[in-house]
Amino acid sequence: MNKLNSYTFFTAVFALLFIFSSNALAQSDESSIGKSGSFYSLFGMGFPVETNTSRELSMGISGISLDNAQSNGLHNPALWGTNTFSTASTGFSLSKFLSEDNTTESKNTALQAGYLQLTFPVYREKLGISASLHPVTRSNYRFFNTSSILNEQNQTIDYASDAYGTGGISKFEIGFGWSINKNISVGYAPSLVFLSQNNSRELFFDDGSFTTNVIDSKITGSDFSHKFGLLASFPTIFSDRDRVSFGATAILPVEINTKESILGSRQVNNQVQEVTLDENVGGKAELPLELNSGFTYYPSTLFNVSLEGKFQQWSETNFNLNTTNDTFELSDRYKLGLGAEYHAYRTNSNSFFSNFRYNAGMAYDSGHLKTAQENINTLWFSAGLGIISPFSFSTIDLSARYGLRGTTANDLIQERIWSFNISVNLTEFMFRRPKLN
Amino acid sequence: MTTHNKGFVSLYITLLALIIFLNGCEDPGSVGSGFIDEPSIVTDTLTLDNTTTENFVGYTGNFGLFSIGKYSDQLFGEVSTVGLLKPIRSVQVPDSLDIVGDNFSMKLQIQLDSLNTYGDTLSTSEFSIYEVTETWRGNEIKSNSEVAYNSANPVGSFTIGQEKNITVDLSESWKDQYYPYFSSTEDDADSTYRYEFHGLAIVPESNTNKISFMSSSASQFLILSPDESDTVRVGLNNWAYFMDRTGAVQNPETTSLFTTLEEVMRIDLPLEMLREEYRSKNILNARLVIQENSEDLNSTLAADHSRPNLNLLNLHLGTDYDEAFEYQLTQPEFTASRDSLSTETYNSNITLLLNNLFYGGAETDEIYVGIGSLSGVLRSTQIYNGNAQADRRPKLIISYIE
Repeated sequence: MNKLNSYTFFTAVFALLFIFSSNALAQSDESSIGKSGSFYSLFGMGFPVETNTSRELSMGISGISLDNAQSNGLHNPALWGTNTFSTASTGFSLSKFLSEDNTTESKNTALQAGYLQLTFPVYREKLGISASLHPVTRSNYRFFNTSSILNEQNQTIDYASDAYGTGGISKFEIGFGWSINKNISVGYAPSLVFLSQNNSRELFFDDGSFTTNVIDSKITGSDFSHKFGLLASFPTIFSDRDRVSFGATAILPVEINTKESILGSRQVNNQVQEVTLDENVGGKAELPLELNSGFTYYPSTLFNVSLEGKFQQWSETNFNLNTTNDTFELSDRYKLGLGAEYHAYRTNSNSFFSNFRYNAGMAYDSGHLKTAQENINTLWFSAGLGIISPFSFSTIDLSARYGLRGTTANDLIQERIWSFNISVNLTEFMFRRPKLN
Repeated sequence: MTTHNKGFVSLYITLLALIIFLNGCEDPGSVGSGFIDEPSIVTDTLTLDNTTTENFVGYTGNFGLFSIGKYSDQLFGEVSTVGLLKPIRSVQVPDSLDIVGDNFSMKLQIQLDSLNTYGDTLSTSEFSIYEVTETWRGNEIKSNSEVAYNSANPVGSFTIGQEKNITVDLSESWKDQYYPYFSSTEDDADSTYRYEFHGLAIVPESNTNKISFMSSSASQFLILSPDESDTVRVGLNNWAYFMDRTGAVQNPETTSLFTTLEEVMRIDLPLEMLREEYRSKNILNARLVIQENSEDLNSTLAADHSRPNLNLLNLHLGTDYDEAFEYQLTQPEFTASRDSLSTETYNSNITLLLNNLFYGGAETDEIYVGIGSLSGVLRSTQIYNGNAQADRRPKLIISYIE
């Protein structure tokens, strides 16, 4: 087996196994443990998702300033104007949530497909377009507990409750980036924002007169969103070989008019059926104004370091879905990420460890939820590995992150999160020009 | 394999092991469940005012038991029942028995139900047995049927005290009427027997004050040899009873229920209101609660008198077919059972009915509350209807989750 074949073989096997594992769990029942994740995704429209490549995640940044003509990014449309190659990329994540409060603990695993993005350079390094489908928020909570209630005769009835939620807000986005000159690029990406969220609860009663009660709430809605991006790159800052790139994006607020249908499982005409208890219940869900900015400094072609920040104005958003809770309220979210990467594959070394790109970073996220006393913040530590194709600029990026979210103070929940991500970025694959003899 | 490839293999194996490890560890628990709103049960009690008392005539023939006797019930009036029975025609008499030609005698062996007696349980009832003079069929007899019998010429008589098994001598003349059919070998013997031989009527005498229930399977005719050393048992071909009730107390606030369907309570559910108010609710269950007039039932029953007990009411949905047949003899859609704690009330879980009305396109909102009977025991009770004071009327109790 030559070098090309073994690389391709093992990479393909790994990617297929990862995806197969993801699909296997995704095809299981909605209440499957494979769909359950953060407790805090219970509230509102779910928890904000970091839809990033594994490379960006491992650096703890959004990637808005990560100027790289050979790969793509979702978050700054201005980057698409600098693209040299056509790209196709997707990503998957496997996250494990170890949750605890003052009395008990639980483990949940969420295995999710992340995003899909295609970019095309209309004019190489001048004008590029992108089409993508990616999540914005996700609900993937699940709780199982036992308790008791009183019936009308004041008799105690024990019950077990299984509550779970899936879905969230996603975006289908088509946009373009334009390099005005060597230093400045801008971009614009309108998108269709659509909400599809299911919240379910099954109650099992220890009383023959109460049958198992299954209730599903399906919330849908859509609207349009607008994203603007800017990228400015300046060479020779401190030396002849260095450069710095500055990125900024703004996403305008979106108000989604929602419709909610309440479905229940009932025995009707001797058959168990899903019946509509209520439908087209009007509601409202808003996504906040989002501002991102940051810079990446490239001292050389082997190393770069990034510092990026995010602001989401959740405090100004409203929603009247039935996933509100008196304990929590929405608050403005700040995120600051610092990361670096080392391009060992550019050293031309024959060492095995010189085949990769190495990334590391950390991020602080103030979170979009708070109680009267506490912000539900998250501290992330991350590291990653990029596997670069020796024959193209295609990459497979792997990242591992460890996060600490929330606190057990004030009877809240702390989550320790292990998250593993894989993203595949195929570059110029479909447009390779055949060699002629 | 090159060092390069070995490195990749090691990397991928490590990563796959990590994925498998993560997939394998699961223990979803109750962390955070305290932040989910606890389900709370809301219970609405709806008083059902729209009730009517309906009258039907029930079937009384060919059940496992049939009534004989008379009882003056202070609440339900004076009830008199006449039993009808007819032996089967063809009986194989073994040659070894000393029964030749019409040289035999006949008796009626009566087996009473050991569990139920309606009336004065310590009294002795008296009966005369007469020859029926018209054609009848058990399956056609209803409670108000009148079947003629020849009261001028008794076939036998007996009394019922505390015993449950009584043997009655039958007259020679009646035996002589039975013998030609019994011994006939004609092709049309069965048809002739069906239309020309009418059986017997067991008629209570005036001083009787209880109703007993004859077992149709354990009661039989006996054919005996002259010295009564040999016996041939002859089962029943048809059996039934018809009855007469007079002097029942009429109370507009109550409806009396009888296994003979003389009164049945019809409840018309407020369907439009229910659909409007509850179709969108997350209903856990819906119960129909009916209250028994236990006060009058108890106060009108003297010491040592009894009514066959009742623990179940039948709830049928309205039908356009033979109502008496449907409400008396078919399986009810729902039953209401006596509450174990509050024994004067009957409860029925009719959640499935509401499901069908709300989501299944059903339109029948009439519930007929009665006492069906496949046993033949004459049971009765009295329940409050929609005219009673509010706390005694039938109620629909709907529990749902908010």
